[in-house]
Amino acid sequence: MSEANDAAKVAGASGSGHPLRLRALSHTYRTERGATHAVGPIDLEVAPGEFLSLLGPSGCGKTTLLQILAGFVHPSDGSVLLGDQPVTAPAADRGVVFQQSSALLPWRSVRQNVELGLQLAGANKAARRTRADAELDRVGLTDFADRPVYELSGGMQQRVQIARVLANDPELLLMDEPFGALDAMTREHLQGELRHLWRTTGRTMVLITHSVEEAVALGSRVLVMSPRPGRIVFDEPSPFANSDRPLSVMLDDPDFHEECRRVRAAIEH
Amino acid sequence: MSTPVAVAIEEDEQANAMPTRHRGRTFALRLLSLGVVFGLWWLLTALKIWSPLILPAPSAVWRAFVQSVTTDGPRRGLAGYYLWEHLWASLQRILKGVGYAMIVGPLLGLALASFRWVRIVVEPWVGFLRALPPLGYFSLLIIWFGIDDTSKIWLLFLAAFPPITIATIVGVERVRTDRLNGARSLGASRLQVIRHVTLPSALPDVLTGIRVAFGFAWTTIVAAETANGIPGIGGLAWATKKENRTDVAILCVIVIGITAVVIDAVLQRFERRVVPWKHHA
Ligand SMILES: Nc1ncnc2c1ncn2[C@@H]1O[C@H](COP(=O)(O)OP(=O)(O)O)[C@@H](O)[C@H]1O
Ligand SMILES: [Mg+2]
Repeated sequence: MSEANDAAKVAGASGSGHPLRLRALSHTYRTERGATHAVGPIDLEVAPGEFLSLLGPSGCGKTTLLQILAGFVHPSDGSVLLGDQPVTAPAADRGVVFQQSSALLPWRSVRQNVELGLQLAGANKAARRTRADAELDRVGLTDFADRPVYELSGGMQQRVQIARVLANDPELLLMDEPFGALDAMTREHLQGELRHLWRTTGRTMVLITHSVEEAVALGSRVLVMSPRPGRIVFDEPSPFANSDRPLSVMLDDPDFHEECRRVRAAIEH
Repeated sequence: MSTPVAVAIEEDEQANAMPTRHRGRTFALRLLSLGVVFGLWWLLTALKIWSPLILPAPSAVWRAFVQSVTTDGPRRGLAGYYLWEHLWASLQRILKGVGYAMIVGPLLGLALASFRWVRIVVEPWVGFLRALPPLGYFSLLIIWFGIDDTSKIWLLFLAAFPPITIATIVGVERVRTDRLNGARSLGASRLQVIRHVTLPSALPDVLTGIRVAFGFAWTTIVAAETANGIPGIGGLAWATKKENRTDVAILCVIVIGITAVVIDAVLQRFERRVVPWKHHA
């Protein structure tokens, strides 16, 4: 697994942010219908610039974990630290890409959606526009900047979500099945783009996915959670994140297959 | 979901789901039904089954219409005012009453949806007010504010703001959590979330509430003009009973009905213009 270690090193080296630390993190939802221990306890250390793929059976607490990292949900136990700052609320340093593009604002154009974070921070019009246009260029949506978001296809809308988060320069990119609602072709295309984004931006990324292939191909580190309450039962670096081969080509690689098989076994265990 | 507002919101969503092909056929069928009713009306009066006092001929209603827009010696329009003056008087009352409701309704709705304690304290009263037929408290308003326009505008305001308030609550409550969270993770403060996400997201529902309010206010004003309602289209309709002017009564029914339809159509157009993204939210 020397290739894997190299991959982790390369990824780590390109990161410029802070490490993410989860300490005895656990969450129980309490509602009128009773308590649900959704996730944890989880202890985890993520180096800056890592690309974390998170897999696990449905309902095992993946979304809960991501929402805790985003600051939407307060964990009932344990803590999350980004650098030495405890995560207690959402903030611009942790961007979130949602599965549904209804997270975008339909009354705004594509560009205005990407400008939102900068506008909230009080940036002036010119600065906003320059930055938004750069991000739109990065995700290949320059020609659609002035269109209303709802006129775009599902794949393009997910690109808008990614662009609006990148425009904010977050340390951490949190993605909850961002390609889950897309068709296979679009999905594959966006996977390639996401991998490219990770390499060029050096951001720390957390990707929740249902697809073992997607997790193994994109992640520099693959995590598998147990059924609810979700704990980490598999945590290994993946050598394929730094590969230049497209995902479709990777599918023919026996090593890739073997890795996917091991990960799948961990999920089904 | 059985409140008028919820029904309006739902109907609206269904209307949008109707394919265009069906819309053309629907329109043709509606036109046909209008023609049939007119034909029957004409036939019934031509056969002279009832006296013209009970059912005047279309031509008599047309003559009443001509009278309503002309002056002949001492007669000026009908009941001293031209038809458009009656109509405009009613519309002005509506615009004022609903206008105030359009300010108070959304603000109150936002407060009710945002603060639990406000909701606990205020919501039952809004619900109570909405359940009351406005004419039930009209005499109180007349005693408090006099027989002139003030009491009518109060009446319209009180009739119009509850549906707007309730539609606002519906709108605020169904803003997607992802959308709110998305803005928060882009750095939005509580106020920024309300301004940039909650309010615009709720706007389609608020506008639907305003449409319901206009419809409700229109039925209310026509009834309210039975008290000192000249000029006013409802007042004119009411005054006909003294002189057995069925022709004017029918003229008023037609004008009141068409006005209601036009108001709704104008508001729908306005909606499409202001929130073209409504069905993509
Ligand atoms: N807001 C909530 N209130 C109560 N229970 C919840 C809530 N959100 C999720 N859960 C429960 O927590 C468990 C984990 O959910 P989730 O984190 O969405 O899992 P996953 O994303 O892995 O499918 C599930 O049993 C789910 O029903
Ligand atoms: Mg989930």
